[in-house]
Amino acid sequence: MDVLSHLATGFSVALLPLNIFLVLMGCFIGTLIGSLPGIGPINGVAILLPLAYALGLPPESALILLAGVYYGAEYGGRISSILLNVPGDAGAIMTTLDGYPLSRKGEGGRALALSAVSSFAGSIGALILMVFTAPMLSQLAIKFGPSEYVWLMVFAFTCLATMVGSRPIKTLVGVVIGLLLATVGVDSGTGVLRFTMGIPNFFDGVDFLVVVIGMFAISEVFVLLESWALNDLKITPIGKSFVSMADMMHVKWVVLRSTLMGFLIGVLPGTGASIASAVAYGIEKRFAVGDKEHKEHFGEGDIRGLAAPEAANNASAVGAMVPMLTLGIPGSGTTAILLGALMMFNITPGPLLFEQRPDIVWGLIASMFVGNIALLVMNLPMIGIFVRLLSIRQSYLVPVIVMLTFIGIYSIHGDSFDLYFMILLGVIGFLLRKLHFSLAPVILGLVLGEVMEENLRRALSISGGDWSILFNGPITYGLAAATVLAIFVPLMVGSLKKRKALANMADMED
Amino acid sequence: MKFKLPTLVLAAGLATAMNAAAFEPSKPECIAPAKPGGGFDLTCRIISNGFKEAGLTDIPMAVKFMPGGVGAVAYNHINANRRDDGNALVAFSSGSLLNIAQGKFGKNLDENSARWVGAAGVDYGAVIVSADAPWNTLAELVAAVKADPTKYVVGAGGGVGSQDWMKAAILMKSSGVDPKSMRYVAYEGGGEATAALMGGHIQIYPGDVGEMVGQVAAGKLKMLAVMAPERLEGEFAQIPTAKEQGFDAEWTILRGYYLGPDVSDDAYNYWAGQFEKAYASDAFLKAVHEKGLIPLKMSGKTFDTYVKSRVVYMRELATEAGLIK
Amino acid sequence: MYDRLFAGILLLLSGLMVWTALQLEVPFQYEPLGPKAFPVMLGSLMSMAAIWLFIKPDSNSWHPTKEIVKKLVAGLVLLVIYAALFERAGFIIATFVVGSVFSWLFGETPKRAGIYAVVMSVVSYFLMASLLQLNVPSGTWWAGLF
Repeated sequence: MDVLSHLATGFSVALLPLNIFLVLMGCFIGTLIGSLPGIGPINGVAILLPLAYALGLPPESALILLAGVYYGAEYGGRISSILLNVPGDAGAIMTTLDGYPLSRKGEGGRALALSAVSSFAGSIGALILMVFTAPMLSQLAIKFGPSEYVWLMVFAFTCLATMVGSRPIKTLVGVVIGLLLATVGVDSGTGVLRFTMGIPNFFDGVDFLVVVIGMFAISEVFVLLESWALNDLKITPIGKSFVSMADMMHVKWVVLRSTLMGFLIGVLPGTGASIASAVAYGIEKRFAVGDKEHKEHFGEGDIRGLAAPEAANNASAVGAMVPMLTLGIPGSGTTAILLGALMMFNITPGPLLFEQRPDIVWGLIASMFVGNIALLVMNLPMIGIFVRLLSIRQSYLVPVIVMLTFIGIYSIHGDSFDLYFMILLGVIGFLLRKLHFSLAPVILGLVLGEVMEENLRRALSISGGDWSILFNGPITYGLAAATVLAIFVPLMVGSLKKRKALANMADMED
Repeated sequence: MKFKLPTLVLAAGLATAMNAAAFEPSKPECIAPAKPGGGFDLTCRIISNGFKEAGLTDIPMAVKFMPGGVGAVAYNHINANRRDDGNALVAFSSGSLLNIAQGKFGKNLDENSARWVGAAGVDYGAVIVSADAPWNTLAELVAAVKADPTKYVVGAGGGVGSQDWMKAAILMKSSGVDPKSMRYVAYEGGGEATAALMGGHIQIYPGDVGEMVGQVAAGKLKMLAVMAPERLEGEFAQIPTAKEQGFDAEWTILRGYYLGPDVSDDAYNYWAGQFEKAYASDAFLKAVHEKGLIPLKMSGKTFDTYVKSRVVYMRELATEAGLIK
Repeated sequence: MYDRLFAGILLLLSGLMVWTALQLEVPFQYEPLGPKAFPVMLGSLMSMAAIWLFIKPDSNSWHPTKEIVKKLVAGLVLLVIYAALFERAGFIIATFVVGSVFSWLFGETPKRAGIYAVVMSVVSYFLMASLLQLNVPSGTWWAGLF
């Protein structure tokens, strides 16, 4: 088969000693960078890019190194999410929802191991999909227009409607806060400045990472301070539990679905790891209602809520490579830098890359198989070291968390303004947590809101104000139908269950 | 003037002392007002690596990132904190100038709030359509749009008042169509707009020549005209200018560097001199070409005057279009 | 009580946002919604939610004592000092000062907190600045000295 012979070419490149060394380096650095809060794959790739250039690496080797950092970071992001409730990077926000409760219960090792396996499965699954469907999918991805994005966002919101939180009204308030934050900055359609208060740092909008790190990490510092004052800092027990066959069997379909979902969302040029993991989590939560065998307890340490976002964010990192390699269009912020890297090496990314430089494209793909296996092998034994993080005294841990968040946020814009803004958001985040608001809806509102508004207005620009453009093809019908299903299926299953329960009670009374 | 004599003497003494020790940069850096890998990053790499390859420095200049508002954050940062820092070169593009012209860089900041020191190079606007579009010349396209401006969608990498919008508006005006009557969609950057063009969501994309390297050769897109004063060399030599096709539509994308407004003449002249030396080096010019730009050899006073005249021209355009009053 | 207070602030803010959005001057737009529609819609939704929350607040479960408030304010002040020093005094000194006080706040003896903060700030400076090549400030106050 054609694909297999290409893949063989690829492995002959990827298995060169230099390239094996580079992929291992890249994955290791990526894991490290991803695990530091506030420093994500974008920074990692940007840091190594000049280095790769200066070392005079051949382009395929440089790309192998940089891509290793990229997907390595998606592995690393989960670590501080699970152990500290501080997302290591943007794609790992959803991982905090069930990962942190698990580690509070002393099952940090189990959570880390299962999420590593889910990440691995997500990457490898997505790679296989990429090998066989890349050219076809890239055609589908560009058919995905503004109307389709609008429906995808509506679908995502519907799935997440029953998100964690004490009361629906508080979830709603959280989402709207996020949506309003998304409107800050220059309006992409008309160039009008909205809610910037004349501060140039707000021209490009509220930076997503500043919000995430402020609301999660800084507010966590306040929570720790309070617990210390109350004298109820629980020493989290370190369970010896690691991944079990039963766990893996339990989540196998979750991982499969989330991989597919994450890959597809990653392929789309306008959406990345954070949206992919949010949608995967939302779908699993929404449809787990009907699972009779395993009562869902998403948000309290359900392993399905851990496996879904981890499989999805890794799959989306692979998916984002598809439009980059086949069309020369970045599928995410990080692949945009990889594109820039290719150009620095005088390689023109684009439709001709597959034909002109198969060694680069297939070498990269093959190296991603190697890299992911290496990441799994590297990550499983390291879990023992990572969980020890939990036994570090707060007096040592808190200064490190504070320091890392400051370095991470300062490195984005190199401006102290972000630091003050992050602290403000931390105070708001802390108050929200004390009033029993969940923070995840705020972040999701911020991420999804921008895509939603921009694309709705783009669709209406194209149609000249005609709303019927929202139903302009099979993809929109499909997504609209999925939205309707997401609303009604759990309701129907819920009422069916109730009826059955009532019937059972009636039986017993007889 | 209420200066006391000793102060004056001291100041004069200092000035001579500084003249004696001509400016020598310590730890120079290029500030890229974008995220890593963005357009400004490439602009900074031109001098950070190009100066080294041209043999002007031993170590490549450090590149620092300060993204925000096409350069607004960096412009404000320099004006607030580093007005006289001769070590900080900041990259800018004509997109930044367009925002300065519209007063979007801050209330009290205009083109006189910086010392424009040297050019990296230029790029030109281009009219791009899908390869299977029915038009092969600009005239055919314009005739179709004129017949019904609402039938075809112009999509671009920026909103009203951005460079891409200006290109579309200039093109429309040169063909007698009111820019307000076109169908216009704003995407986030050229990449997304190119994707939309390939996907058939938009029909016309007023992009840049530089970003189309490879894309036109791949045969998915067609370039109907370059918005340059004369034909380009190399890959795009066979593509006619808008002017030859009878439409007075030109758009030059300028990339270059500025220093803080209070930087000493010594430092300013030092850097202008460095640029002059670089322009004479083939290695530097090669670095410019590799980043998709056409070299523009202009630095110092001439460049400062040129940039300021561009801003004035842009201000006229923006006023005419009703963007500012 | 806190829920009501929070709802009141939200109501005020959402009103302010709607008003600000309506003041926006738009030269022209190519679609019917424009930059105003979303903020106005969201602001209205927010104000309705806030009113609902005001009418039916949760019973309050958070009762911070004076001791806790003191600690929280101390933490906040410390963070602000860190932000203020970060660029000016540079990473090493800012991290040393703030890191040692934080460590002390969490019960370390001053001496051990100080030693720990020195080691942490110096080691991480070289890790972050040299190894990871991150943009770590060296301090504008001492810019002329080195």
